[in-house]
Amino acid sequence: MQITVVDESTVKKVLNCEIPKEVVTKELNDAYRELKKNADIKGFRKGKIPRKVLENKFSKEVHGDVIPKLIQQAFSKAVDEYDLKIIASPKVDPPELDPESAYRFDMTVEVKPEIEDIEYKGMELNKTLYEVSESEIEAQIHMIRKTMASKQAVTEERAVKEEDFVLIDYQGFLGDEPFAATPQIENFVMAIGTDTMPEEFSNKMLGVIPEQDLEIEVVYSDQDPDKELAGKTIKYKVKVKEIHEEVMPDDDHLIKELGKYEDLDMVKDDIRANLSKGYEQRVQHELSEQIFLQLLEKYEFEVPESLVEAELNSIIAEAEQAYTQNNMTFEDAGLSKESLRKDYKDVAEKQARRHLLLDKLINQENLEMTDKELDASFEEMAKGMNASVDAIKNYFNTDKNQLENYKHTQLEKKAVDLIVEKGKITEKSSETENKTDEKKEVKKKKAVKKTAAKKTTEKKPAVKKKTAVKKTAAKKIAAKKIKKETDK
Amino acid sequence: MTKNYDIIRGPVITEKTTLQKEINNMITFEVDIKANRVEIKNAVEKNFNTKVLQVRTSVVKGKTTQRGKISGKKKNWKKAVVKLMPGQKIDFFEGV
Repeated sequence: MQITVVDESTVKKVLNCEIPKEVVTKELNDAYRELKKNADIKGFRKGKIPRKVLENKFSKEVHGDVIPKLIQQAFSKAVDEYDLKIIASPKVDPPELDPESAYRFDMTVEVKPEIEDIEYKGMELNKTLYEVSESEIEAQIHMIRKTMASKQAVTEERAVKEEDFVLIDYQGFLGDEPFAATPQIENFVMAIGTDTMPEEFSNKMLGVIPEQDLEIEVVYSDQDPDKELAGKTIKYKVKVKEIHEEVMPDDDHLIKELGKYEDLDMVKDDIRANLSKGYEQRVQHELSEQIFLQLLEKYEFEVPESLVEAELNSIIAEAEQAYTQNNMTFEDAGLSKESLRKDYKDVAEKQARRHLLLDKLINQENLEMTDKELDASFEEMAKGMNASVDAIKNYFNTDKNQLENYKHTQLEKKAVDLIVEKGKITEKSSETENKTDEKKEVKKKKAVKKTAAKKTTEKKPAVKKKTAVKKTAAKKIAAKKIKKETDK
Repeated sequence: MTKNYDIIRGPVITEKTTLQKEINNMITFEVDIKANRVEIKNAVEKNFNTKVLQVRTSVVKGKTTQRGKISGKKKNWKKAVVKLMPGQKIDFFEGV
């Protein structure tokens, strides 16, 4: 067997293979002999079918079986001979097999890039220390209250103000004719200042004392997502019937609703613990981001396409899952797999680089996962998932592949920890950081809203990012509101 | 009159016939039951562009079949074993 290696790049090699005729015939003979035992053709007894008849009838199948075998042989030989560190399966476009001659084919393989030893000691890292502030906790409690709030009709006679809800009947007219797309709707509860209804609605509604009839003219722009309404001027006849306002539960009520707490302090403690946990994760995340930024700058190497492809696939699968959980498809969101692929190519490549670097470090330092550590991580996972440790262990024991994957991610974590441990860490308080952060978040939110699903530089899919930003932004707004109230 | 291609119904490929072909250059066809040896010879020579030395025929009796109480009979058919002139061959059968 002859194999010559042609380098296309440092990570991509083409193997020219030639398998001699003798090997081909031998493999074919074996295959036909095996086939002869069990083949069933009318007019012949089992095991008595002449080779020629078999060849005539089954040559396609037999060749289809023999070709991968030959390729496999060549592949393992190439790996042995040239000491290739192959990732992913080789790409071969197998030509037809001719039993009368040697079999020649080209095989494209991708190998792990050679990375020089990583100098990870003494990396300069900035660690931001976050502290959970009282206002944040208050904001959280306010949020909880808000979700529990009930709507009650206002009995006194007063004008509609911000944050109220109004009970309205309305109907839209195009000119003087009733318009089919905006039929009569009765007893609709509308929140003032939200975007469920056109802005004109909220503005006109402010200061109105029920019951009162209104006429509101809404001009829809040509780009309006509702095609029936786009570019039209609709006159709404609105009857404001009642004002509703949100009534927040008081402390006792809140604690009762939440169930497992005795007094407000316990609730606060719990929230604090939760928040600080979130901050811890954030710190970890920031540290690892810094590490990779530095490492990626320092070490240059080519990334095998197949790895990038794998990363891309997993990103897209994750995004798809997120959409299906919300009962949406990519098409609904105006996305396609192709566009996602394009947008996330860079991110995927970075991810791939990250894994390669960590892999190198794991090998370099001979990091290993002891059983004890594994058990500890299982326990932590069990806590996080509210499942028993045994259940998790069982799951991994049945699926060895998963276990290996899991071990690898844990090892990667360990590698990051090692870098952090050996790095030069400058600690910073979060005060100054927080403010700039807030601005950033708000900016981000706007950007996300505008471009909807355009790419974000984060590694997570846009969907997740979006919800996360929304949540934090909502928290911040709530915090501001509370501040206002206390100021008053 | 029946046409040449109406006479030959198809090849009969079994252990026996493949053996006969290899040893004696004989090829077996299923043919029209009314065809005689001369007609078969002409048909084979014309259709496959070969020279025929000898044709032997036999009528194969159809098997009786039974489905529950109802018994029936498969059709009789004529088998023709055609011996080709030495060196002659039919391409269609070469792979078989």
